[in-house]
Amino acid sequence: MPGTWQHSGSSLYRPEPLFYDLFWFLLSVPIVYYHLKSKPFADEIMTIKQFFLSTVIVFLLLPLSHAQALVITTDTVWQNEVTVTEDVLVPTGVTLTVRSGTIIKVSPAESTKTDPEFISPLTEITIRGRLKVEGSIEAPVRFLSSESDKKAEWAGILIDGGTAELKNCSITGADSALYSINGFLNAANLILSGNRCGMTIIGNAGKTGVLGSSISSNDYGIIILSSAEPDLAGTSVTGNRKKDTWREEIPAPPEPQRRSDITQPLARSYSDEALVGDTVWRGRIRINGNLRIPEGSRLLVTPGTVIEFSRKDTNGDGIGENGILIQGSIIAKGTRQSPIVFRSAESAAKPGDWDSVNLMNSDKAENLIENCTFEDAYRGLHFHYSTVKVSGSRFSNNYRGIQFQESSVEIIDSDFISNKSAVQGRDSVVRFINNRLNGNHQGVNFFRNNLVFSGNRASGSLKEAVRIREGNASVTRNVITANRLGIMLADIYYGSVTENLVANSSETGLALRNVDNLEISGNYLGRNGSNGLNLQESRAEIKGNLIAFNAERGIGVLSFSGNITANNIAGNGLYAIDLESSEDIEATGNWWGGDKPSSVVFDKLKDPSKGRVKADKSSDTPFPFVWPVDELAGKLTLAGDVIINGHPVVPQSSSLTLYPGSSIRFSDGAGLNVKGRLTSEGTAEKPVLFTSLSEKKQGAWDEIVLEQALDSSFRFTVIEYGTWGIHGHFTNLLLDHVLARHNNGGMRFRSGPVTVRQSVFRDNGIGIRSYLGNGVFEENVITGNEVGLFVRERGSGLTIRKNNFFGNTEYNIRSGDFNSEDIPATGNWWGTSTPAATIYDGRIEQGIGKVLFEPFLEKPVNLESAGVR
Amino acid sequence: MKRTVILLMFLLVPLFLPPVAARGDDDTFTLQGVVSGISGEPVKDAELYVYGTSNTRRPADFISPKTGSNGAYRLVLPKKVYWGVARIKKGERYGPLMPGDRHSGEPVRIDPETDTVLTLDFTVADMQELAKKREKGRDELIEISGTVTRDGKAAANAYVFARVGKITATLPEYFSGWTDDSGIFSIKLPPGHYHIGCETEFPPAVASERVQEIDVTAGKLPVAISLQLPLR
Repeated sequence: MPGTWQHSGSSLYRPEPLFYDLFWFLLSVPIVYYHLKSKPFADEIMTIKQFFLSTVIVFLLLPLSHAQALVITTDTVWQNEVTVTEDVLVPTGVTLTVRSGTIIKVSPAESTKTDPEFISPLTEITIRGRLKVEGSIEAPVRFLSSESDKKAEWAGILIDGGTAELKNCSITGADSALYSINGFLNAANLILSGNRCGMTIIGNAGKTGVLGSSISSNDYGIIILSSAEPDLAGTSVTGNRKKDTWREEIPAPPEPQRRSDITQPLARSYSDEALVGDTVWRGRIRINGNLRIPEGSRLLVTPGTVIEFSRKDTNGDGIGENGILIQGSIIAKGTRQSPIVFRSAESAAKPGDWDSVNLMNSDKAENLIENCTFEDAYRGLHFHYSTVKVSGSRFSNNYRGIQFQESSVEIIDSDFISNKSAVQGRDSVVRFINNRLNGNHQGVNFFRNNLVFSGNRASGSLKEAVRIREGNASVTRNVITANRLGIMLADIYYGSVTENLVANSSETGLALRNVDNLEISGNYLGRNGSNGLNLQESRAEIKGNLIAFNAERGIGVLSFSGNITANNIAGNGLYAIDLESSEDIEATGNWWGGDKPSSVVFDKLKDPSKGRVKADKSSDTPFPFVWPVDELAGKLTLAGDVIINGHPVVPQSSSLTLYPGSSIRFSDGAGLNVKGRLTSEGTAEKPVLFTSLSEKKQGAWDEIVLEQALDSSFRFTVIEYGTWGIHGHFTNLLLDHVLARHNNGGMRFRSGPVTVRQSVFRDNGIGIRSYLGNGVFEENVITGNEVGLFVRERGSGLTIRKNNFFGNTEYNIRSGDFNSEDIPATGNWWGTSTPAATIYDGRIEQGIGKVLFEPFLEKPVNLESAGVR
Repeated sequence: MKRTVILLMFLLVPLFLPPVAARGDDDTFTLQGVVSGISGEPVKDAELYVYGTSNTRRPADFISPKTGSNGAYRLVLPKKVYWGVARIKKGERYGPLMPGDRHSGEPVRIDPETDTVLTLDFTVADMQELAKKREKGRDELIEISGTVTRDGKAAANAYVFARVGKITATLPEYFSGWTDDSGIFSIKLPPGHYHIGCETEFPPAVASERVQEIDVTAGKLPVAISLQLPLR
């Protein structure tokens, strides 16, 4: 490996690389010869040494014409002109210096590269050590694509925890000119233009200062995916095509739990050796080399075993080399209570401390990896031509969790947390089911597989959560939320994307590029940062989706052939469909959120150079949309007619908003379980409706349970035919203009506090039931129920005033057997001049609280506007 | 005389010119061939979609008439390079492939060069069937499944092992994953004769009792394997 790449010439002419290398090699021969000849030949060893040294000297002088997939392991200088044809990595402890006036031409190449230490599929210059760019005003440094002026031809300068000092430098043609992941960037007088993005800042651990610079004519100026505050004094960020500054905070993953408490003594240590036959591991194992399990041999690992790998990096590339190679098979059978741990032996562990558990040609029996934890590896698991089942396992803080090819693979019920890349697999048969991915830089990346991808949850990915190229794929019932990009499918000929939740991506939810024979149906594509769905050179049937409230477009179309029909496309920021191509597309028979298609579609009518979106036969009413998964995770907004089966959960930290006019229809016995926040935002003209899907009778569906669902609210909302319409526990809750009717019970709550006003509880078994409650009930109509208000316990926490209680068949208010406290209820109208006759309390049953109804109103309160008309 | 010469020229010159129709033929070529299934049989109702660019995710520039029972198709095209895909598709000419729909996969480059007739055959297949076939071809292990019970109830946290022979002095060759509350297990085995049993401790006791013999044959699965853990 040459330590210095220096050009002595000043010409920008670049000969063909091979010719150029040959030229320098021929030049080196006489130099070596002269060098050898000038030294005394003491003995044979001396001769070899001399030759070696001389060769090194010559190679140090060799000005490389091109860099190829290169890890620079010693301090290096670039000057004059450098062509980068493949990825360059500057590891920790190494400095790459770029002299003034240097031109760096980067070859565009979108590859399927497999090395986890690289970050982008495009050609990249990645800095984990130090980059020093010494441009001057007279002789600036230029980074550019070697082939065209297009954007995103190469990845950019990726500062992955490293340090970059840049002066008087321009960067063009990159996906992101500068891309910092917890990096330290100190720059002045930069020109970042003609890139997809000028600068991307990820993570809060680094520091960014870009002074006196210009960031313009990119698609995006600066994307900040963290709460970091870059110092941009004197820097102009203007004239970028889509946005100058785009800030989005992608949720950080939970801190991985480490088994730092393992202190048991070492059971065995291994160095470079082979284990023949069956080897059973228990206790704590140390690996100080490369351990091999030959063909026909097995490694059996018992629950609770801890396997630690010491760090050995002989080539200085920043990647540890100790690991296990299995040519036989492995059965690692941890349990949930006693998992097996594969981890770094170092006290300050970091990704890449050890290599991998590698399997090669292990397909005679199924290898089992059950309830195992892989931490701090280069690749936790890595296998070729093998049959492997991974279940209940956790991969965290690795460069890559799992990598495989030409294998038969099941990965089930496992976690991937804070890896640079969670999974990469190619040319395999893959079942990837019920896994959880959280906070990985890149989620899963599948190439040319026969893939079933189902029931997974992915969030916090800083690139795509799911990337699938070639092969065929069935992608169904996944929850993909709060990633930079949700799902990308490219170059596939067969498959389906059905019944997924794809929401809250910083950019696009679902992107299709160059796909054919694809079914896209039953998906919720909502509240993504740019578009819900992107279509480029794609043929598909897009049917029965809810594409709603994306910040820019519901569907962005670059080129598409197929049909977009029976979808609900509502509330998107710019357009429901934005057609960028000159060819017409079919989009008949959709519901456009109550808008006219002409007002929400961008096509020929607005720009004659575009094609036409054929959007006739639009539906006046929404198409029923069956909620596809058992969660309503993320920040979601629903519109139209949504059918709910089962009891989906709005998890903690999630929020569900119901758009005016939307209806939620519950199938028999179904309900909603809210642990986050529910906001039912009806209006007087367009109320929200919760009702039963089939039978119109009390108890047809279950209830809306609000469990510590803080700040939830219902406004202008009808709730009917439930068991209990609303069931609140420890939730501060507002009901304003609610109509609860034909339920077994309209509302019950514990604790609260609740505020109910201008609402109507009518024709329920029990209108409202309070248990240890704190609540204010004001200006409501409570009528036609068997019991208007039932106070089970601790009635003193209620404030009941200006309500009309009347026509309840048993009692307007009933004090429960366990309620020993009086219930304050002055200033209400009771439908009679003798309110006590409508109340069951301590006056009838000794020992229970009384309803303090005096003074009471002689006339009803005017509540014509209460409830929902 | 002069008028006669002019008249003769009008009459004779066209004889030396290439006929108009022939000139037109130079600008076109005939693309023909047979569309067959993966076992080689000609297929009916296939259409050849021809595109002027390699982007085949758009309406085709030319579509052949549907093939008859001999699978033959024929198209006359302006002479240039094309890309072609053969399809059998019911209903609309886009969207997902339905059961029975077939497709030829990657677009094929059609370059007539100097030919006036170019013969290209296409093979169409059900993409889903192809994928399954590939899966079967690669996977030599056969998955069998069943239930592990204890005291007549589904047993969680158990697993199944399989031995090739009766010798119990060594550990079994094959293991399943842990069962969940359903007690259901699955284990992948090459074809052969096995003694299978179940356990809750790993590795299993060397001399496990209660083994059951099964034959695993490709394409023929043992039915309803039920294994019982020892009574507590």
